[in-house]
Amino acid sequence: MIELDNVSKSFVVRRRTGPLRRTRTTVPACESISFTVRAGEFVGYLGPNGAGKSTTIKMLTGILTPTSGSVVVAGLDPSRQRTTLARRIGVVFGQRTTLWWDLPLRDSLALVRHLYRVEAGAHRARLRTLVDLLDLGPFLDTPVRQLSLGQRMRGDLAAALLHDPELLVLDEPTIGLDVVTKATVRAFLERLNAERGTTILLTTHDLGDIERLCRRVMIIDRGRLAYDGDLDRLRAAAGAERMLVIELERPGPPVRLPGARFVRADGPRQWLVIGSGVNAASVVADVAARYAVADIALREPDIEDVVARLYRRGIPQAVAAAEKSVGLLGGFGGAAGGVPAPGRPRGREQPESGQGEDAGAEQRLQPVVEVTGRGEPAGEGERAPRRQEEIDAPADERQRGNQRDHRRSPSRHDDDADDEAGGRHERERPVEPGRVGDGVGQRVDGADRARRTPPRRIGQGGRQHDAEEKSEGVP
Amino acid sequence: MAREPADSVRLYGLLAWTWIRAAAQYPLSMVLLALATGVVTGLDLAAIALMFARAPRIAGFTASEVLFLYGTSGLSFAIADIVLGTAERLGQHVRQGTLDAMLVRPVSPLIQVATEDFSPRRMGKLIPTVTVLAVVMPRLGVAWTAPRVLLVPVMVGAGVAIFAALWVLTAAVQFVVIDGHQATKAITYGGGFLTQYPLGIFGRDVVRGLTFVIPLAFVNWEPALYVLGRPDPIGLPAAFRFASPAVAAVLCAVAALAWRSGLRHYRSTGS
Repeated sequence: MIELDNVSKSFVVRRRTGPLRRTRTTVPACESISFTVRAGEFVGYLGPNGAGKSTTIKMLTGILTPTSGSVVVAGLDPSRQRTTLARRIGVVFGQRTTLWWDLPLRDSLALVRHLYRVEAGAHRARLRTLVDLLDLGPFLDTPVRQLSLGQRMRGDLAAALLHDPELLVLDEPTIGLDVVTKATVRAFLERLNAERGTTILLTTHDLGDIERLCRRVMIIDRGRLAYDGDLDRLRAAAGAERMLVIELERPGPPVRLPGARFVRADGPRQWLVIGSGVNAASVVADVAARYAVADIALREPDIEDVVARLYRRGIPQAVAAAEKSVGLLGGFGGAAGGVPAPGRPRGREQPESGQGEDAGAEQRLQPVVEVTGRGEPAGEGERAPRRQEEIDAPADERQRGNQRDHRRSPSRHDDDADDEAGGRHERERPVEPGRVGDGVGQRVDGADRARRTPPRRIGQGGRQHDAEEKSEGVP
Repeated sequence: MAREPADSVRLYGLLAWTWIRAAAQYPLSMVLLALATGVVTGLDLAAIALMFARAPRIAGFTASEVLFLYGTSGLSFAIADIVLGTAERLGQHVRQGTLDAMLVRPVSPLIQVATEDFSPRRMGKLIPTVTVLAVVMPRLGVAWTAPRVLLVPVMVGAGVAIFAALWVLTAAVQFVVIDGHQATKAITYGGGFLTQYPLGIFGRDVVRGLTFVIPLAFVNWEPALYVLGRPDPIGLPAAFRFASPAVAAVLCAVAALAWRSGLRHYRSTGS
């Protein structure tokens, strides 16, 4: 259905370097991306802001012409046969509508029928189904500009599907939606894929979307495809772990539980990592049974963390690290034994990769620290409070990943818009090495480490991680 | 621009009709706006009337002759403006990223931009020019031979094509210069204004520029010289009087190429 072969796209950016001088720099947005999506697949396409997700989508739909390489979608060349392709695919942009702003939804949908030349009977039947499934009835006669975001998104989905496309491309469809609407949209997409066999490509920042829907995940980072495989193996490969945050009634010794590993404590609050093969519910039940617990929260590894890990180390190291930690951790993460076979297994080229596996974690972090140095100093001030706020939030809210994502998404949106307006340098969202994976706000890079050594660093992977496993032992 | 012209026309009509229906929800406002548009367009007439209150002739042209030029240029410009005027909003769509949404529909984005906000009030622009032509043509005092009669619709048609091509060209420029919309107005609206007067009132170099660089002279000036039976003040060959359709065709081809190239180099905004 989709075939990308060695596709690159670069933009020329003019940068003001003096009162009258401007320099032109070529900024790569996508570099040698190759992947194939077969008919009927449901694929999640992830990546940090500015990684090249939208650029890829735009090349698939014919909006942008690739600088080099070949794109074939449904047997067509998107940029040359854009209108023909448009009749066969559906596209939904989460952040802007494809409906006519001033027309009532009903008129927009009727217009779509004519534009795509759908036969009247087929249209009526499909419209009835879509109105039913997406619950469009109450606002069919409202102009699109007056619809709420959730209503608009459902309307957009309906408009994209009225011509029964073979391929549906969704660019952040659940961004900013509330939990209920998100669930409706997800259930609808799931059904569409299962029953009609529509191929779906979905970009998102929402791990919930991916977990619920996608059997296959592709991750793009800095314009390169960093991972292509299924989600569990990705998690295992990146060594991302679920974190249990326990607030005890009063400060006490480290909590010891089977299947969970103590990480650090701060007063009555303790952080534990849950192994990937362990049932989190039983761990939570254990804690509640054995300790006087005031509050408890379970945090899933954020897709951002997973991506950031790949960003930092590149996939081959990630896989190697996963293998090692599996060996050492024993009971942890049996599933991780199956090492992923990524389609295009390279992250960005890392200058130190020649040093091989023996290079210390410290050295591996080096280039990232440089990247960080160019931007804001690691964004600590900006992000730490947000994490803190999450920690302070009521437990039930915290446990619902959906809600958390919902709350955070608007800022992502803004970041995105700003990012793309600027050049590549602004885009390189500094990834905070220490924060990566631990989700708590520690930092591990050079300078900070000495000053504020946390009791234990988790989730950095690599040798340091392993060393700690050895010294502290595993329950 | 789609390969099948008939299909493009069908889609244009469809989209325009949808917009008209949306506008028709406020009928009074629609009628008033149409009248207002007509009055504003007619203000140029007042300028011409003022000039003739001072002098009987302008660059050797009588009032009726100047009004004939005004009518033909105005009609061409009004039709092109009605059909393609909103193409100048392209830059806005590029900036806001709404062009992406247009590009995933199976319709040329040019048609989508041009039909945007299509409303009967645009027809208001036709009122003054059609009235002027109807009043002035019988009073020109020329012998209405068959070639003269034929040349009038041809010049209006060629004028529409030339203005339309200019709208598309200026829209194509906005793929590159996103904020170029004010500058491009100088060419489109400026061109519409210039051609209302006998080009003979401008210097020779200006007329040459308007013939060979931006071929606005072919909108009405050159063919009108034949219709009015006048010699060319800068002595260009007689064949130029009939060259309008050819010039229009070339300009349209250039505009189509520019549009395609612009679309291919479209960068899109982030999302």
